[in-house]
Amino acid sequence: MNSIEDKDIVEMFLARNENAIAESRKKYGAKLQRISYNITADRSAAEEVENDTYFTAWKSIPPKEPYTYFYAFLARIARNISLSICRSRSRLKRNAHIVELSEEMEQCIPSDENIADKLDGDILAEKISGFLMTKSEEKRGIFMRRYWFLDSMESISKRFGLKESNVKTVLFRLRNELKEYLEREGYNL
Amino acid sequence: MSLNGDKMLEKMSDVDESLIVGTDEAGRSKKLFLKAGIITAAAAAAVAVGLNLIPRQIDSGLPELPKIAVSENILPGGMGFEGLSASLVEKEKTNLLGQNFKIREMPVYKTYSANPDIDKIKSKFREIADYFNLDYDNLDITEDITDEETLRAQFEENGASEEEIESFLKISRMNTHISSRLRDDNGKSLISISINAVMGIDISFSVPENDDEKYFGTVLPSEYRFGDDSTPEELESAGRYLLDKYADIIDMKNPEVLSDPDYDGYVTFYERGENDAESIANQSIKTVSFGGSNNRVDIIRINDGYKCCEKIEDYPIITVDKAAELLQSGNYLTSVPYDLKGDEEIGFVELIYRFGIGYETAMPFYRFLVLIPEEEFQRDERIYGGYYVPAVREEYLENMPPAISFNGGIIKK
Repeated sequence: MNSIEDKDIVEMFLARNENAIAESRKKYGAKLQRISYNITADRSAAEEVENDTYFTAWKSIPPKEPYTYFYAFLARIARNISLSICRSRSRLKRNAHIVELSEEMEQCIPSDENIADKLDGDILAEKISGFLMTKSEEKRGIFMRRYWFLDSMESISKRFGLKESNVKTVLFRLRNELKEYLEREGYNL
Repeated sequence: MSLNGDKMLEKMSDVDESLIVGTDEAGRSKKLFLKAGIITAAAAAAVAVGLNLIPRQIDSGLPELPKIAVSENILPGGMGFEGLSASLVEKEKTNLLGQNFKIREMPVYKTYSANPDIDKIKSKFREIADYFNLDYDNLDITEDITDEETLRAQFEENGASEEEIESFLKISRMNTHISSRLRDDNGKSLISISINAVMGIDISFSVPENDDEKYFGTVLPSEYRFGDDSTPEELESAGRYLLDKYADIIDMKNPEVLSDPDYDGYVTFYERGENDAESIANQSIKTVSFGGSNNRVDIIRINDGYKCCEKIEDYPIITVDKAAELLQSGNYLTSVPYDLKGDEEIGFVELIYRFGIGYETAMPFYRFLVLIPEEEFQRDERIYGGYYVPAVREEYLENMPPAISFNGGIIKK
């Protein structure tokens, strides 16, 4: 049986129909848990995040009407809640994977503090999106899998059928390019 | 709060939704693999082939030719592993050329993908920009050209070995491309042009939503039907019209239509060679594709690989029966993550070249499309995976180690 369409689930949310949550869970529950598990490395936390995601969505729709990107809407909520859980843990208890990712992301930050400050706001995500749009589908995919879905190098390597060393090289280069791009864009702000 | 790694990671949440959806299944879509492979001819599974140009004595009266070594690919190649649904395999069978198993010799080419001719790429880019009357001097051009000095300094600073640096620079050079996108006042892309290291050219046009919008593509005359619902004959007819229309930027003398199993509203031509072996090579190395809908062109893809490679020699090849034996004994290359057990159903065999970004040599392979039961279980449809046996006789293969990585997969011997 085909699953229900996203727009119909959004309609249910808007109509305050509680089946919206069941349908969301059926369609995207596993994916949302996977996103959260990648970040929290904790099964029970991932289950809680999934539930909290529906709850947050319930509170947000309306006024939001995410007809077009309903999955992205849910995924983003799950990601944010999961990162928030990580933040609340002490540094020592933080998932080593997140620490590693954070250090990698650090390499994308413009060295000029004035520019970094200018970019430190909503504009940053916009600029990163603009940068990724200029990249090939594969490079974009690898970057997003690493820094949005927070996949391990091994997982990305399997997903794209590449050697881990190749994945690392692509990411190394993309981080450098993003840094340069942000510096360039920052001057124009 | 100033920017730090955590903040950057957090801010990634807010990237454009299309990126999240677009990459949720990244690397797993077989359709994407196939579409991406159209221009670079199955570029998703790259094999770099090294050459030892010292001729070796070959027994049994075979000609003396330089040995070629199948080696590890160093370049990221494509999306996921290569797999086709049963219906696509049926369509693949309609391309009879690769099923000519009477061929005994096939050409092998050395490519310059690891050392691209930047001037040639720039010159072609300029030619295309001029063809579309773009104001070249004011175009926003992205040149992804390796800055060897800077990269080397960065690597040295991080303590990389000379071998690592050379390897990285090679990958970087292979990834060379020049691109540009002209936008209207509202930021909408009107035309984009990109050229890669192996002279693969993509030109895409935005189809206008109203009469006021500028359109750089071509509207075909009403006697043609070019779009998603066109028949193969209609697509070929429209394609030939477009070959004439764009003859100034397409170097193709004897275009033959190539059956394309996976793309509606899309037609591909290859240059017919002087014999079947050459034509099979051309199906991967020299092609032109047009895509569009409602009689409007939205993409032109020109794959002019001979501009960046030269023929080494014609090499004797093995028979399809011998290739099947090698397949059974595990002498295959694949990006499919499942080993062959020996009793799988073979859906189709053909001779094919691998060419594209990352290939240092273009050589023929027997491609076996083999049923993968594990994928059928996961996807509820019959999926065939591509397993490749080098077609060049073993006597000419310099280096076939017991296990060579092949786009994440393996070769066994």
